[in-house]
Amino acid sequence: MLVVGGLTGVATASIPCNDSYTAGRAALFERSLSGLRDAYFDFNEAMGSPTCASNNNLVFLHALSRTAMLFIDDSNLALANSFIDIANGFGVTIVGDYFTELDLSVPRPGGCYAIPSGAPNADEIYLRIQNSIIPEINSIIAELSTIKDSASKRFLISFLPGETGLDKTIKVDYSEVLILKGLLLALRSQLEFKQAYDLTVDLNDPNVQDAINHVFCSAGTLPNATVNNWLDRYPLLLTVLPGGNAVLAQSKKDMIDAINYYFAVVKYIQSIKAPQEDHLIYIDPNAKPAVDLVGNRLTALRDSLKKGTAGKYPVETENRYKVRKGSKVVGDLVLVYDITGFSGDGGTLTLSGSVAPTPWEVDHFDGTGADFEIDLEYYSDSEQREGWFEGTLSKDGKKITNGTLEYWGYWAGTSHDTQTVSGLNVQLSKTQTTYKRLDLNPVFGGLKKRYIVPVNPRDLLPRFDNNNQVVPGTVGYGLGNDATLGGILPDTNQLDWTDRLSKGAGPRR
Amino acid sequence: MKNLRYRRYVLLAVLALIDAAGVVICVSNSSVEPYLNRYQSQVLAKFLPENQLNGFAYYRYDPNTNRLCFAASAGMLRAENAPLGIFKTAAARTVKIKDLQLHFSEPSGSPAVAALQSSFLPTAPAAGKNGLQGILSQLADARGHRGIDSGHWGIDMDLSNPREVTIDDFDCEIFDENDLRLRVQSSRAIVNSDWPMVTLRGHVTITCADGSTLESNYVKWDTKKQNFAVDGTYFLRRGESRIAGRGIRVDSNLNIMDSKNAKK
Repeated sequence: MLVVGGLTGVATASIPCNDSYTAGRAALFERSLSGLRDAYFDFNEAMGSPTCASNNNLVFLHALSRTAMLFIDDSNLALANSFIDIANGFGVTIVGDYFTELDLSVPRPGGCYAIPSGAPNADEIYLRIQNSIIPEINSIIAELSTIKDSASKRFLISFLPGETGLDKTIKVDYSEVLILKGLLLALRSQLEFKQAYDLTVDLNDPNVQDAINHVFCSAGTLPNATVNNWLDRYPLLLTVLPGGNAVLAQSKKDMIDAINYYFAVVKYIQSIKAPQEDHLIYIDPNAKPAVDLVGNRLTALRDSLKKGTAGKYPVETENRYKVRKGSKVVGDLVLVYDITGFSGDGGTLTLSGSVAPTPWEVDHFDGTGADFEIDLEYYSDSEQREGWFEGTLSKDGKKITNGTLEYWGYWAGTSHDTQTVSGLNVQLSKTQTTYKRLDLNPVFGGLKKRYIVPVNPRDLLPRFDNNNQVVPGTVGYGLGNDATLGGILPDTNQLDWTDRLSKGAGPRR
Repeated sequence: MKNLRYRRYVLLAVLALIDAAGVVICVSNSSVEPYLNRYQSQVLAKFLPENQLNGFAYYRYDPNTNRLCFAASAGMLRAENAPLGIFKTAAARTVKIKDLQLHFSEPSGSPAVAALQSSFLPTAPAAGKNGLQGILSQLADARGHRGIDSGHWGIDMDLSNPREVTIDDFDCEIFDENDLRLRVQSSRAIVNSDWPMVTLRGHVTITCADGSTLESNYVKWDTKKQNFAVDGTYFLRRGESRIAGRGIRVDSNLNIMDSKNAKK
C-alpha cells in the first residue's frame, strides 16, 4: 500500500486542485478500500491549494474520507495509528478490496486464534488511541465546523450518475454534515469511555490463550482461569484509572452532544419542504412513528444524563385485542411489545374451538409497516402446532384487518395438513405499558451530591462458582451485592437478576 | 389527422389494459424480442408508475429442443430507496416483488440452465458487484432493455445498487426433465447482499423429489451449500415418518444434517 500510495502521489503531484477534487470524487464511489484511500489522497492534495481549501464541498468530502481513514488507513497516510493498524497488531487483517467481498482474516495456527507475539498491550492501545485516533477525530470535527449553511446559501453537493454508477443524481446536504459530526462525537465518546478503565491483561499470560481456546474454540478446561481467578490475578482490572473521572465526564458530554446532533439532523431534514427522494440520507414522511419513538427514547436518555436523574423507559407494552370473524368475537390476542415498540416475542392467541385449535403462544411478531405478521406455535408432549397470521395494520396501529391464520402440525392425536382461517379482524381493546428506570449517571460520576465518583465496572459483577456460573444473589458483589448496580437499574432486585440469568440467551431473532 | 389521434387513443387504452393485466414479455432463446416501438414506450411510460411494474411473465426456451427451461412471473415489482435505520437513502435500492413464481426445468446435464438457475439465486459477490445483481439482471432482462433508444420498450426503473429483494408470496420450482426436484414456497422471501442466505418467512414449505416436506415459519436457505436451517419449530414428513422439533438443518433432499430437539 505504501508503494501504491507513493506511486499515486507521484502521478498526481502536479495535478491542479480541481482535478484532484474530481479524481477524489470518482475514487470515492469505486466501492472499495483502495478507492477510499485514493479519495483521501486526492482530497488531501486538493486541500493543499489555497484556492480550493475554502470550498465547502471539498472540505466535507475531505472530512468524510478522513473519517474512513480512521478505520482503514494501513499506510500512515492520514494518521499514525488507525483501527486497522491496531487490529493488524493482533494478526487480524482485511481480506479483499471491494466492499461486497470484504472479510476478516484471523490467524488460527493451531485451529484456534492465537495472539501473535508483539501484539500491543492495553497501555500501547491506550496511547495509540489517545495520541493518534482521538486527535484526528477532533481535527475532523473542527474541519466540519467550518462548513456553513444558511437559508440563503445552502450547502449542497450533487453526485452525478457518471460518478456514482447509480441511475440518478444523488444529493448531499447539510444534514450529512450534522450526521458525520454526530457520529464522530459518538465514536469519541465510546473511545473515551474505554480509555477511562484499567483493561490491562498480560498477553503472555498462558491463561489468556487458554481462555481464548475455551471461549472461542470450546477447547480445553480452565482450572486456573475461572472468572474469580482472573479478577484476583488482576486486582485493578475494570476499575477507573487515575484521571479517569475527567475522561468519563468528557465521554458523557460527548454522548449528550451526539444525541443533540441526532435531533439537529431530524430537525434539518424535516425543515426542508421539497421532496428528498434523491438525497443520500432523508426521512420518509411515513416513518414519523419510528422517528418519534426513537426521539422519545433519546430524549429520555439525554435528559437523564443532563439532569443527573434516572430516565424512564417503556420496556414492555402489552396490547390486548378482540379477534372477530365477521361481526362475531371469536377470540383474544395478546401481544407483548419489546422496548422497540414495533415487535416482540411474547403473547398468546386464544380462539374458540370451532375456529381453530387453541391456545397458541406468540413466538415472534413484527409490524414495522402495513404488513403485520405473527409467528405462532404450541408445543407440548402431545401436540405440536405452528401457525402464521398475517394481516394489514392500520396507520394508528389499533386494527389489523384482512387477517389470515394458517396452521399445521400434530394435534388431537393425528397430523394435519395446512388449515386456513381467513377474514379475521383484530381490534385493540386494552394497552398496558411497563416502565423501567435506567440511570447511567453512576457510570459517569461527576455529580455534586449523588454519584460523585463513578462506579467501577468490576464492582458490578457477581461472584462466580468454579464452573463460572453466577452465584445467585451476588450481582453487584463489589457494591455489597447491590442489585441496582449502584443505582444504574433502580427498579431491579436480585430475584430479577436470577430470573433473567436463568433464561439464558435471548430470542432467536 | 383525426384518424391518427383516434388510433393513438385506442393504443393508449390498450396499453393501459396491458398494464392493468400484467405486461407479458416474450423471450426466445437468450434475446429479448422488440415488443413495442419507441413511440409506444414513450406513451407507456406515462401510464406506468415510476419504478414499478404491475406484473410480468418471462419465458426462456432451450435453443436446441425448444422446450421451456425457465419461467418467471410476478404480480408486481417495485424499486424503492433502501432503509438506513430510521432514515432512507437514495444511494441503494430495495426491490419489492409480489407473487413471484420461478420455474426451472433442467434437461439432464444442461449447463446453460444450471447457470441460469444459479444466476437467479444470490451469487458470490464479484468485484464491485453484490450477489443480488444476478437476480436483478434477469429481471432487468424481463422488463426490456433500459432506455427507449434501444428500439425496445423501456420503463423508468432504477435498479442500481440493490441491497435487498423482498418477495411476498414466493414459489420456486426446480424440475429434472418433468420430475420435481425441489419446491420452495413461503409467504416472504428476503434476499440481501449477505450472500449466500435467502431468508424464508411465513409458512415455509419445502418439498423434494420423493414428496418429503419440511414446514416452518422461519428458514434460512444457504444457496451455496444447498441446505436449509431452522432455528425454531419445524415439521418434517418423510414417507410415513412424522418428526416435529425445534432446530434442524437439512440438505436439498431433506436429509437431516443436524437436529437439536426432534420428536417422532
